[in-house]
This record gives sequence, C-alpha cells and structure tokens, in this order.
Amino acid sequence: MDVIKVAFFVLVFPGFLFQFVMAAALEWMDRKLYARMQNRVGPLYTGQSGFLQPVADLVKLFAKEDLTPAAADKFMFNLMPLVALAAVCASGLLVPLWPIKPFTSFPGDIIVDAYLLAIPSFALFLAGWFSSSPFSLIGASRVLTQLFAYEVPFFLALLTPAVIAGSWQITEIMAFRWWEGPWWSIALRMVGQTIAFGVAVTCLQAKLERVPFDAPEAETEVVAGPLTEYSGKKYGIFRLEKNILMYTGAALVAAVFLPSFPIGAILGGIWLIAKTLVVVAILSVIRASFARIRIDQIVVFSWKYLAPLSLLQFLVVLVLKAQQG
Amino acid sequence: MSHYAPILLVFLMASAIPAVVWYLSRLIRPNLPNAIKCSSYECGITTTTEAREKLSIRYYLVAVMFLVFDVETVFLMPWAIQMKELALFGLVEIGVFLFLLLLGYGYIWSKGALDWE
Repeated sequence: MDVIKVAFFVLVFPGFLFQFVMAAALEWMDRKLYARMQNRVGPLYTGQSGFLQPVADLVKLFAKEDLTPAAADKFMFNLMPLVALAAVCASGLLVPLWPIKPFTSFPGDIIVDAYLLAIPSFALFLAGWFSSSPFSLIGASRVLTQLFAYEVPFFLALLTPAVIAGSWQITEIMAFRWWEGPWWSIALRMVGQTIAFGVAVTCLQAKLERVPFDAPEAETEVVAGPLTEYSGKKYGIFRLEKNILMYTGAALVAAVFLPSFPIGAILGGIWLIAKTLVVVAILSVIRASFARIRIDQIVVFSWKYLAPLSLLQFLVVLVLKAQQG
Repeated sequence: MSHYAPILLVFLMASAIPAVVWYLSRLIRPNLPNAIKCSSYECGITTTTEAREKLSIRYYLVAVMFLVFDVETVFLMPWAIQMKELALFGLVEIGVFLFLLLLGYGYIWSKGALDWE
C-alpha cells in the first residue's frame, strides 16, 4: 500500500484533521441550535456567526498550565485522555465516507466500531477513579453504571441493520437494497429499523453523557464528575474526544439506520454527512427538551423501556428472517 | 488475519496523533505547579474526606445484570454472522435462547432488581 496515501488517509481526510473539523463544526451547530431553542444567540463573535468558537475554546485550553493533582495516579491520570481520543479517532476511520475500501473496510467492522465507541466511557471511568477525588469517584461510578444501562440496548439495536442486510461490514449494510422484496418484508424492515434507530439515538445520547443522561457530569451535584480534576490540555483533549465521539457515533448511526442510495462515492459521502447532521440535530433537540434525570432513573429507564424495545425489534427481524427462510 | 491488520495500524496511528498534540502544546503553556494548585478540588476549603468511599450496592447489581445480557449480545453475534449457513435450525435455537433470557429478564423485573427503592 502506498505510504503517502495511508498517511494522507489517517492524518487528513477521514482521519484526524477531517474529524477535528467535523467535531468543531458539529459542536458549533449543536451550540447554536441549543441556544436558539432557548431564545439565546449562542456563539457570535469568533469567526462568521461564532463558527470558530469551538476551535478558540480548544486553543485556550491547550495554552493553559498543565496540572496533575498530587493525590492522583500520575501515569493513568495522564494516559486516559490519550486512550479516549485514540479510540474515537480509530472509530472515525471506520466511517465509510470514501471508497478507499481495502484499508478501512473489513468484515465485522461494525462490531469493532461499536467496541471502539465503548472505550471512551471506560477511559472516563478510569480517569475519575485515578483522580482520587470524591467528586471524581462518584462521577466515575455513575459513568460505569450508565454504561451498564445503555450498552446492551445499543448493541442489540446495531445488530438489527446488520441482520437485515445479512452482513457485518458497514459499507455492505449501506449498499443493501432495502427497497427490494415483497411489501411485507419491506414493512417489517421499516418497523425494525425505526425502533432500532430510536433506541440507538437514545443510547448515543447516553453514551455522550448529554442532557437528560448527564448524571455523571452533573455540575450542580458533583462539580464535573470524573473530569473535576482535569484542566488545561487534558480537559481539552477530553472535550475534543467528546466532540469527535459525537461525530463518529452519529455517523455510524446515520450510516446503518438511515436510508442510503447507490449514488456514487462523492455524492454518497455528502449524503452520509447530511444524514450525520440530521442525527446531531435530533441529539440537540433531545438535549434542549429534557431536564437531567437521576442515575437510578437512567438505569430503570434503559432496563425497563430501552432493553424490551430493542428485544422487540430484534424479534421483528427474527420473524422477517424466518419468513425468508 | 491479514483482514484485521488495518485495525492495528489504525489504532497505532490514532494513538500517535494525540501524543503529538500533547507534546506540541508544551511549547506555548506555562508550567509552574505548587502545592495548592496540585491539591484535590474541594470548593475552596481543605480536603477533609477520603476519595475512596463505599459505593451503593445497586451499582454491583446493575453490573451483574449487564454481564448476563452483554454475554447474550456477544452470543448473538456469531449466530448472526453464520445466519445463512445455520438456516432454520439456528433460528429456532436462537429463539429458544432468547426465550430463556426473557424468562430471566422477567424474573429480575418481578423480584424488583430494577427498582432502586
């Protein structure tokens, strides 16, 4: 494989630079939408309509002094932001934006992507745990409890499009011709996919720890949860990680659940980005419409509503597959 | 195996990027730590409580439930990959498996493991 091509791929286009730009753009969009829904204007002064505000925030954080609390475990405390960012960057490379197929696409990449998206939560838990601060510890235990609540429905929801398409490769799931077949099979696919999409978006919101699932970082209760002791560049890296996670998570959900059409590589990439924007807009609306719920309510909600729903859509898909024999 | 070499490569490259970002910012930031800056956050007063405190038993209960159902999804994945080869036999088997799990799910629900009171 051509080394320059790979370097370009990893560093520029679907790689780090592109992810960084997408993360900043999506954060700007999210903040603007959120502000407009609260009758505020949101970021305004940095760049056109405050478009550069997320970048400016990041530069400010990176220029701050780098502190490690004396009580913290130095090595793990410094390592965790890097692990979280590395995991989301790797997951971003699996998003099929461009047909450089042999490098990013392999059978089973949807499973790898799902596991890579789970790593930041564990990194956040360990970050809180090794901070050795009471607030961090409470936040960390909440992060993990929340992960236990939403991870199973999220995985079951991701199974659905894969089982429907009969493939575990994101590009093949996207290439699946969902509009073909008898009417009842299309209808069953629609029902299964719609429920699964709802479950996946809700779980994504919980994965991002945004309102209403922001109990781990509830600023009125536990300061900033696992991030209490983090400042400067380490906090900046966690922030960047959250925004890239928002992009890659939304892109994964958009790629496998929302309809794709065979319209070529470039148009397909633009269409995928458009779908990603729609998913992020839904996440913003959820964030603006709810208040924070308690950690026990999160657990009860996901085990009593999300898990049965995800099982239900899985049964729908089973019926579909049994009919097709 | 050659299928999965890209994952390793991607992960190595992705680890290198944050490390570079990490050390680049060293050029522009100050570095003057002292004892007060490096103390744990406690709303401005001296830290009195220990960080390692007891956690609610509820967290462990949720963790146990998660283990069972996560193994379920892990078990569903190989079936779903081999779906075409296993055909109707596999479908019936996975139906029985899901039914048994649903029984367990109904049991923990009826026992009140999902309620936090």
